Amino acid sequence: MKRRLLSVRSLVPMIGAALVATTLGAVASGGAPEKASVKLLPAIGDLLRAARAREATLEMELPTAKGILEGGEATDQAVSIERGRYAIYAGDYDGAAALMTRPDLAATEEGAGLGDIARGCARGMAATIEVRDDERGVLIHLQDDDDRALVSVIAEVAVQVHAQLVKDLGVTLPKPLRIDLVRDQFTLAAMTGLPEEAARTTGTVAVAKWGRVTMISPRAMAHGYPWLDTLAHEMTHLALSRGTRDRAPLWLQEGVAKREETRWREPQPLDDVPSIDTVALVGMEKGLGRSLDRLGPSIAMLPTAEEAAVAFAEVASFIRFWTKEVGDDGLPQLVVRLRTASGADGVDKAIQEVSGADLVGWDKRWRSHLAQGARDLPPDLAPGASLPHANEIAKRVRLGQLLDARGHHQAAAIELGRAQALLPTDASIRCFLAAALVSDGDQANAAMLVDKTEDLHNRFGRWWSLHGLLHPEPAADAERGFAFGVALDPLDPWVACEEKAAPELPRDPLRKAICEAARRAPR
Amino acid sequence: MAQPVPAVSIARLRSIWDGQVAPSARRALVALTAVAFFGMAHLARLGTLTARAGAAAAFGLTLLAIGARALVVRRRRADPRAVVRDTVVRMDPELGASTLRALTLLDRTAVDERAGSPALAALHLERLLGRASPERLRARAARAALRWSSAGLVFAVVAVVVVVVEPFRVVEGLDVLAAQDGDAPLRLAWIDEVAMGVAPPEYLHQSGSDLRPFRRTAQPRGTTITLRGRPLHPGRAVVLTDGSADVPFVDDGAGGLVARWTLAESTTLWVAARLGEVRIRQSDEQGLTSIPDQLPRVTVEGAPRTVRLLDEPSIPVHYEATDDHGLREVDLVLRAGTREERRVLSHPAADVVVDRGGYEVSARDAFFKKTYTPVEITVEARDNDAVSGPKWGKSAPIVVIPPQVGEPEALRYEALVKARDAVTDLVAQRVTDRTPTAADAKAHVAREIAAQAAAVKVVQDALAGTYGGLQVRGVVTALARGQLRRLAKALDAEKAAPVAAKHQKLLDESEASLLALDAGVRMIGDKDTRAVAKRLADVAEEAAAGLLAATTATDARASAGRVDAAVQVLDAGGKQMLRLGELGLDLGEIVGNDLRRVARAREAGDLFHAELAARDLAARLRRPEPSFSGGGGHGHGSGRGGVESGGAPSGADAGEPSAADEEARETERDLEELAREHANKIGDVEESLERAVSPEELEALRQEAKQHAQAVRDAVKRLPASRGETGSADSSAASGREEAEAMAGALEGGRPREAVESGRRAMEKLGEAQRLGQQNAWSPAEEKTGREASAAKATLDRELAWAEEALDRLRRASSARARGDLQRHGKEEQKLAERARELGRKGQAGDRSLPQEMLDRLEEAEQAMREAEKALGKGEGERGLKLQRDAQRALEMAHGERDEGEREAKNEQPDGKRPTGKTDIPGKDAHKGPAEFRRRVLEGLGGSSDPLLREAVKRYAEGLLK
Repeated sequence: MKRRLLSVRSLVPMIGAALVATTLGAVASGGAPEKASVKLLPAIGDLLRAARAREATLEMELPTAKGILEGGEATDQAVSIERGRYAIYAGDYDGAAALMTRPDLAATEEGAGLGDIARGCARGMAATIEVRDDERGVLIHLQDDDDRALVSVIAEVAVQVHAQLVKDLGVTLPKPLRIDLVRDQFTLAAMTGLPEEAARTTGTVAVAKWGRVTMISPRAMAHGYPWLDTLAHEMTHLALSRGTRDRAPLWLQEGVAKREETRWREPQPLDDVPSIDTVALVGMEKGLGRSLDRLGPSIAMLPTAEEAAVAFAEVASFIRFWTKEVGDDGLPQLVVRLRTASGADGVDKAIQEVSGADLVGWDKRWRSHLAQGARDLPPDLAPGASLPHANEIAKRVRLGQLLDARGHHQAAAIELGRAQALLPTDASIRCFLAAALVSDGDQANAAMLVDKTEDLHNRFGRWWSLHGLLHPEPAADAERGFAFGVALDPLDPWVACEEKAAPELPRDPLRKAICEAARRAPR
Repeated sequence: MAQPVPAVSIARLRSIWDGQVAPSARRALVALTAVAFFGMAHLARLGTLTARAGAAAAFGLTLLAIGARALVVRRRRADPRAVVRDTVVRMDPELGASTLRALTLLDRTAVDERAGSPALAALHLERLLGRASPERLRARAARAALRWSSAGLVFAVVAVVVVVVEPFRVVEGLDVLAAQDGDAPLRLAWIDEVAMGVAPPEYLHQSGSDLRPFRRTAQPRGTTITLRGRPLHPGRAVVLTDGSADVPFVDDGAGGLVARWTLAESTTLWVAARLGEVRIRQSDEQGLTSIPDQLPRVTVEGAPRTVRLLDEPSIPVHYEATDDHGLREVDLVLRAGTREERRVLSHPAADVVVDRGGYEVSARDAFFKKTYTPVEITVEARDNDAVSGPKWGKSAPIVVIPPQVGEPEALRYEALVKARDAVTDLVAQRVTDRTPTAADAKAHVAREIAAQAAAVKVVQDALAGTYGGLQVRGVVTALARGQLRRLAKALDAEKAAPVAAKHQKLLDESEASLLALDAGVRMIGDKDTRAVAKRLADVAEEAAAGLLAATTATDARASAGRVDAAVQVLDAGGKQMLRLGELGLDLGEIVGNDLRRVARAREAGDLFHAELAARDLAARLRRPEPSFSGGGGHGHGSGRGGVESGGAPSGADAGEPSAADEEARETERDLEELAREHANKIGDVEESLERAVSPEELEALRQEAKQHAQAVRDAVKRLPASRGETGSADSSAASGREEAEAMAGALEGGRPREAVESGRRAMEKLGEAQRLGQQNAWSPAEEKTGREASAAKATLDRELAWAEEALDRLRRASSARARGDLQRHGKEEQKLAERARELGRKGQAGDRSLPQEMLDRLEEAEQAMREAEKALGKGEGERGLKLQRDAQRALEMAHGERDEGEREAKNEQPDGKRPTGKTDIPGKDAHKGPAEFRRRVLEGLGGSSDPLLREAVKRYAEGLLK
């Protein structure tokens, strides 16, 4: 999650400076993209009221924020900026965009940034489909209306994650939960303020900010992505922001989010492949890691995908270690203490109070724990490692795809077989080869390729659907395989339709709807 | 009771008076009436409304006065007192007074008995009346009669004078007085001995003729009708009129009158006299029927018809334009919406009434760029009508349906995919084929040859095809042709030795070629998608602007139409994008989705959000990047984002299946750079040679050049100094003159190279002027300019040859002195030759394989560079320079023709942005524009041939370049 601490100095140029500075000092701002070339001014006005409204907004206590703002002067600059922020949180993007065109607001740093976000949101969400599910407490905007079939699954998962977050963090997210499913990184960047180049570097798929989850449709990627786990991850950010009044440091945000992204569901075979401890250790040893408190404004803004992967592994490994040591009650307690933490050492104090040691102490313990663990990572999983025969593999895979697409399944299988021989643990290559073999009528050999997850180092949607097809017994396992497939790549017609040819449909009603959508508008 | 008045006495008095006065008075009044009548006619003749009204009023008042007088006189006769006053009182006032008193008394006695006896009163009155002397009364009456008679005489004299002096004026006056609507009722003759003639308008080039007067006639519009006659009533303003306009007759210098009427619409003419506001017509009338100049008639073969540009990438337009009198210009007109472009097809010579010709509109025509609506092509001809102004006749249209945005690109992409598929099939066969054995080697080879020939044909067809005006050019062509050569080479090897190893090699090469071709196809798909996206972004902006206008404009329907048109184009363009590979599929889906957003909002009447959605689409299309990238991996939508971001790539995505596209681009860049550096090197050698010229040589040249410079100036001094209309002989001749004068200046300044360059450009321009002069021979001025340009060209050609020779001489002379520099240039030339060799070597095999013709050109360039190196090393500057030019030409030919899209892309950075930072601006001397290219080609072709054929080859090259 991209965050940026608001400079205290920026808020106290005028009246009541000392008092206000104390109040706002620890308040994390929603942040806004920086304007590099224009000299922008700090906002002035009723700063106390503005600070209260901002705190309530960041905590997602929108009715409270509204009440505070209603008492303010319409012309007050600082209060007006908070009105704009409130409007963005409340989903009134047009209102926010209109408000932020006021010259006095646009001339301030915050006003300019909020204006950009408001306009990006207004443009990206104009005339989109809104689906409100009051029963399950979600409000979903779909930039691409072909994604409507995904809504039920998203709502279902949101309910489960919601319950899990109450249990794990002691935080109840307000309802409705706003989820914006956008079509691409272009809109993701415009709606969140994350620079598009940064998103393209690290492969960012979602951002939790402005009181909502903004995530990319699985349609944007050739083979989808773990979109449901991503939803859980982002909801965790929102819960932490709300629970700590946005005072959770980045490492905590990302570490807890990584932890929570799989806890809402049953564990899956490849959840810890590769091991995050090993990735963190190897990554740090290779110089790709960073200390926990120096991760920058956002992991999504790290310079390379490898560094981002190591950073995620670090924070996830640390939180796993910490919660294991402290116990499951540790996190809810930490959240409560962070809510009232203040000053530069507020976070340290909170950790100390909950766990008896500060961050530095825990960091040392965690590193020594890691050092005792395994260092072996296969080259295809090691951060920053170059995969042997990478070009040869890519060449064989591409030849296989070209041949398969032309109906030369046997020739395709030969090429893909060569790729698979070079990288036997890759789920996608196994899947392509299995599909070619199935098309060529060699189901027996195909089944062997999509049999055991122990053979794999990564996940691939169609591997699971082929697994379900070629290993129909036991039925529950096959069914689970189909569900795993949809959780990874819901808009591939073969995956969504459980490898069934049209007009046959899956039995599960949710997957049936997704299958129909995938056939109607395939990726 | 009233007493009877002594009526007899009074009547007697009355009778005596009237007997004397009444006849005179009556005569006087008659004379007065006559004067008033004639006066009225004269006044009315002035013709103004005031005069006519005044005349009528004066005459009416006169009559009224006479009538009133008669009435008064009658009444007074019946009144005894009035009679007494008129007679007795005037004759004898005392008696008259007594008489009047007596009358009064008589009246009183009649009503008042106390006043006395009526009889006595009557008697008294009788006696008084009896005292009035009839003689005196008669004398008195005679004096009164005399006065009347005198007045009557005066009136009579006046009347006679008024009539006698010019009685016709009275007629005219009365006619004018009776006029209605400015037209007098009585027709009068004004001229006789009438003669008429006609002169058709000059542009018809017809001679004039006589007409029989006052017989209806039909004449061309603009004809001048001349009417002559002898005036019957001098001093009248005689006019020729059609009732609304007048042409005055003027003195013809021979005692007659003449008027000239220019015929416009059909009409009837009269001769009339103009009196004030009134015309008095002559009874003759001249009917005239105007024959209008017809619109030119233009027919286009096959029109009207509708064609799809994709089906007919070249549209022939054969036309015939005809006119009744003459054509001036024939244009091809292209119209799309509010855009219009006219191209002159012909300027027919004078009097030409039929013009035929043809034109071919190509799908690559600039007009079709950024035109998404149907284009109407017509041929329009302008006539020479100088009377009512030139008129345009228009042919039936050929309606051209342009391809949808991205359609040609999609067709080209699909053709290339088909080519790739053909190679895929070839690879499939080779992958699954058994390795050749000695037994089946021959059959195996035959099979391989046939399969490869089939695949190669498909690829070559795709490369040679035209897709809505688009062709396959540039990097992709080089890449594909290079891969075909690679395949051919591998097959040749297997043909030579059909063994397992060679088959495996063939398979490996086929696989690599397929992947290289695939990379090329994806590259062009990506490039085209980006180009199409940017075009569609403009259309999306147009839709947004229309939606914004619809929220404010009063004419909502017009705005809606504008939006509908833009949406239609976007929809069609988005569908074409879906056919353009992975990025196209991605962006095409976004276009479709965003259009649904726009439609949804419009249906709900929410134009604000419809506009926002359209702007969102425009912004997205301006960044035609894949929807997702990053997190490792390559290609569209690949890479893994972990859960939020920063995931490791899958093994399948980690590598590149082929680097052929990158390598082809790199080769292109290297070749371009080499050509640019080599061109600079040529400039360096030229500069060194010039620097080495001794001041004495230069001074000698300057002296010698003076007379040549003067000859050049003299040759062009008759040419126009200022440029006229673009595309005219004048314009080209003026440019030629400028260049020739620059040549003269350079000669005088001792700058022979500049002189030669300016001279060549001057020759080119003068040639152009000569050609245009011949082409526009209908215009005397153009034709003259063409002739003068031709004359100047002959002199200039001679002077240019001298300048070239002088330059060669100078260079030869300076070569020895420039030896040191030349040797240094030779070494650098050697390095460039090494680079050319290296490029060729890399292009021999593998993913960098280049087409044979490109390798040949590179080899040729390398050889020329090496020879140039040797020549420069020996200090043979002129020879070295010539060889360098040969090498440069070979390099440019190796570079080949570039795709239009690539040219566009060259102007942008790889990330799609235009350069924003510091950019090197080439100096004026570093300009290597088209003129430089032309110069090199001309020098290369002209210089390398036999001297006998030099000029012919040069002319041929000029033709090619044109």
